[in-house]
Amino acid sequence: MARDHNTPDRYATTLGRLILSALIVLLLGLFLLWRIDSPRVERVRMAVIDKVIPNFSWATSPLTGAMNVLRSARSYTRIYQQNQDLRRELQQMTAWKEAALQREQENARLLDLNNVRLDPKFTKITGVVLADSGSPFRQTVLLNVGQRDGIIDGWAAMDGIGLVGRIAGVGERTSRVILLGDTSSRVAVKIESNGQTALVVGDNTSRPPIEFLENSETVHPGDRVVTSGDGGVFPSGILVGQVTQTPSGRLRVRLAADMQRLEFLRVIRHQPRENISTTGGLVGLRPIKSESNQ
Amino acid sequence: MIEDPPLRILRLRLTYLIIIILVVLLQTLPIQTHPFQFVTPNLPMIITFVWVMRRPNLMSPILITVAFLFADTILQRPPGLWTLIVLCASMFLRMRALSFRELIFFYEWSLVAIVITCSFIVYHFSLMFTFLPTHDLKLYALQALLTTMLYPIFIWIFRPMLRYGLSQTLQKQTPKAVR
Repeated sequence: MARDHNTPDRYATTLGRLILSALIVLLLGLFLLWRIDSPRVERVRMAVIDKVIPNFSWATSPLTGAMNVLRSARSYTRIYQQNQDLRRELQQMTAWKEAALQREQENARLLDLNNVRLDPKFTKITGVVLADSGSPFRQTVLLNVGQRDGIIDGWAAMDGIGLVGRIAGVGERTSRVILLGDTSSRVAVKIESNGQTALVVGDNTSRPPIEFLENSETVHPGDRVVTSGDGGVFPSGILVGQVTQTPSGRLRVRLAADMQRLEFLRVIRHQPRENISTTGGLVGLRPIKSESNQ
Repeated sequence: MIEDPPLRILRLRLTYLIIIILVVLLQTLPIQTHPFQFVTPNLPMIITFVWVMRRPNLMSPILITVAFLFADTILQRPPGLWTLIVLCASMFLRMRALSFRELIFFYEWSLVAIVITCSFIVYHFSLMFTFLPTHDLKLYALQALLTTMLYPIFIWIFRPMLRYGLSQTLQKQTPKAVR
């Protein structure tokens, strides 16, 4: 503003009032536009974030690094005890590994016997977490991989162990991941022990509840929860976590991913299943043709 | 009334913008990605109110709009709504800033507290009326309380920066008068 206002009386000038009302109309219009046509405005927002956040990483990454070092330093105080615990755990794990290897061989044999064709291994893109949502009401993080790395909306993001969230919003160099805890996150899951399907519904807590379960009596705390792949958004069989029960009897998921510290996330490249839309041609004609082609 | 040199006004306005941008970017640092159960005070808002109450002549509506639209964009809020509320609130405060200067600090603080509470309530109900997901009113009340508590602290922090250029002009004029 070129004009220099000094007393509040001068604010009440016509020009000041005009500017203020123009701004109010503009902001109200922007909000309504966003409410009506959210995807387009969100795309603009993603483009702005795409420009801003990577350019500030020189300033923010040393701070994040320093905080992480400080947090690790705290754990050095208990290093001896941790070492003992880890050693004991390692012993148990070698026993488990043996068992797992045997099972894997057995599994491969059985699959071979049944002639089962498995999904090709998922390929993945690894990204670094640049920023989080910065607000206590939203659970999202920003990754440093985007359109130029081939990221597509809706792909699953996981840390080394379990599912973390879903890509929602892709910019040229960045993409946003909605975490499982966010209030707008819904993931179709399957309880592995009995194959029941349900939804994990984010509610801004670290342990999102399991909803729409058909028969909750047969689900026990400790059961593994994996994605079911229903709806074709996620590949099926990604580990989400374990069932826990609150004192009030509500079933929740303890997430397998370490949500405390998200540093590197893997985005799973996932081609949605092809839809079989036709009811099939005449029996007898097609199979002969396709066989001769092969 | 002491007049500010235009350069100083420009400098202070830039400082305000930089402070808001830094606060917003610091909030987005991925230090705590775990959902936590307590709310944080709304720092950009309280900083704006402190500046409006102390230096009403600096805070043009355009400046506030630019700063808060940036915050809205980065912090994943519905764009424009929070900006609109803060803009109206600051303009309301700006009209009364000088008349509250002569009163004791407690009155000024209560005025700011009322404005902050109203802003959060308006925000909550506008989200509700446009069928957007909103949160417990209790959380917003807590946030309003925390934000209000910070007001005197930020007044104290910004006091040296926002003092009127009285000492400067005096120092400049005194040597002339001596000569």
